[in-house]
Amino acid sequence: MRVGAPIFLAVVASACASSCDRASEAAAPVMPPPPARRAILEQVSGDVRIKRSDGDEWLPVTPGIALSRDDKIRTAKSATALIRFDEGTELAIDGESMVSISDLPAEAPGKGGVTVLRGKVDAEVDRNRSAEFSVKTPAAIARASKEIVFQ
Amino acid sequence: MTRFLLIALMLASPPGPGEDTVVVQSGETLEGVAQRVLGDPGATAELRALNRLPEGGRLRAGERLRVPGPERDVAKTAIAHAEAAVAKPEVEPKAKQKALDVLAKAKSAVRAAHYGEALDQAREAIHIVDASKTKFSVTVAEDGATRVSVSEGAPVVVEARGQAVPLGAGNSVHVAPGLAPGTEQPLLPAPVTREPGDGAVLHTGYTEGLIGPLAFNWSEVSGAERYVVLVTHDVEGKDVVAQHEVVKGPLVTALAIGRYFWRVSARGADGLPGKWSPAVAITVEAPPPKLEVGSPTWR
Repeated sequence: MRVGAPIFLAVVASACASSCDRASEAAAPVMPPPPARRAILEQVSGDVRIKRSDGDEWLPVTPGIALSRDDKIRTAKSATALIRFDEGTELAIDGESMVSISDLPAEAPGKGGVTVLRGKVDAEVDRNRSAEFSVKTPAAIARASKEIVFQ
Repeated sequence: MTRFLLIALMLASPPGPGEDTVVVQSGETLEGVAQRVLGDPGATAELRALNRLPEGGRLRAGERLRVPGPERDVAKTAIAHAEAAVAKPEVEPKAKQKALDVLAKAKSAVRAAHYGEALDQAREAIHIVDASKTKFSVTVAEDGATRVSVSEGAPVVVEARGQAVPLGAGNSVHVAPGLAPGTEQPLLPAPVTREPGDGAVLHTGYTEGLIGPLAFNWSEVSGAERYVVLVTHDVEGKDVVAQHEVVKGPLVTALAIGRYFWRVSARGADGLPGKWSPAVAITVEAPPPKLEVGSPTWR
């Protein structure tokens, strides 16, 4: 009996595991996750550094690296960088600036945004492809939308 | 009499969403009501349409009139933005005419008090004439004070302290920390580039791998405190080679051998930016070799 009980429990558990899995598969079909959205740091001139969302160090960058939400970019004096978002928006970062990728929702393609903590950025938003691009700062939010808003 | 009043009350429809009502004062005309309530004596057609008043009919003191709500201001703002977009000199004549026709419909819709329709038509007029790209810049000072400038395309909405304002192309707005957006200011005009001119080939002295001195000059802009000169590899101005800030021209610098584009923009007080001049293409070449003639010995 002492030997038989664990075997019985193991058989029940394994039977349940396989049948329960099948039941849950039938009830809720597994949806593929939305594709990860990216922004690419395309051009770099001068001393440009990145601090990854999961890192603490400011590391030098090379053109072509992919940026994710909460990554920060810092440019030194006279340095410049150009970020291209996957909906076609281009963001040119001037020298002595600090920018964070603040909005890159996988569930809302066409939307994107950055937070500018200091310095200057020039945004070029393609209204045919971008639903909305926002630039947040400590004092304001500037929003370029496909829909023109007047209120 | 009571039965007549009841019928009148049944016929009078309640104000629509966002609309309000006012009571006509003694001796007041429709123009007077339009001036008092909307600040626009020309808005009589709208009041007539809203209240289904016959042409030439007189108002009675104490009569209650429906007046438009904030959607009228939104439609009027949209039409003003559309008019500014259509008036730009770079708009093609065909697109301009099409947009003007749509704008005429928008104004007609305002007169008929169909403000939502007017707003849609103003948007359509902007889409007809505006480039598909919206270009704007955001500058943030150390204290967080922000300036937003729109150089091209549809208006950008600037929000701060719960207030949102549309900022049209060719304008700039300053937002101080903790305050609502300030007053819209026009961008400073673009300086006119003088030298080097478009297509110029430059080849002065050769020093430490660079060709120079090269002088860049432009016309002064009223209200400018300094100028930004941008030298790029591409005509769009994205692949930056050098950026210089000077109080006034000329800028004297040196460049490596190659083909470049340069442009200049003024900066006013409080960081007010200016429009960029069109890009000027230049080529920097090595100086021609010097002919050194010694003292030949003839035989």
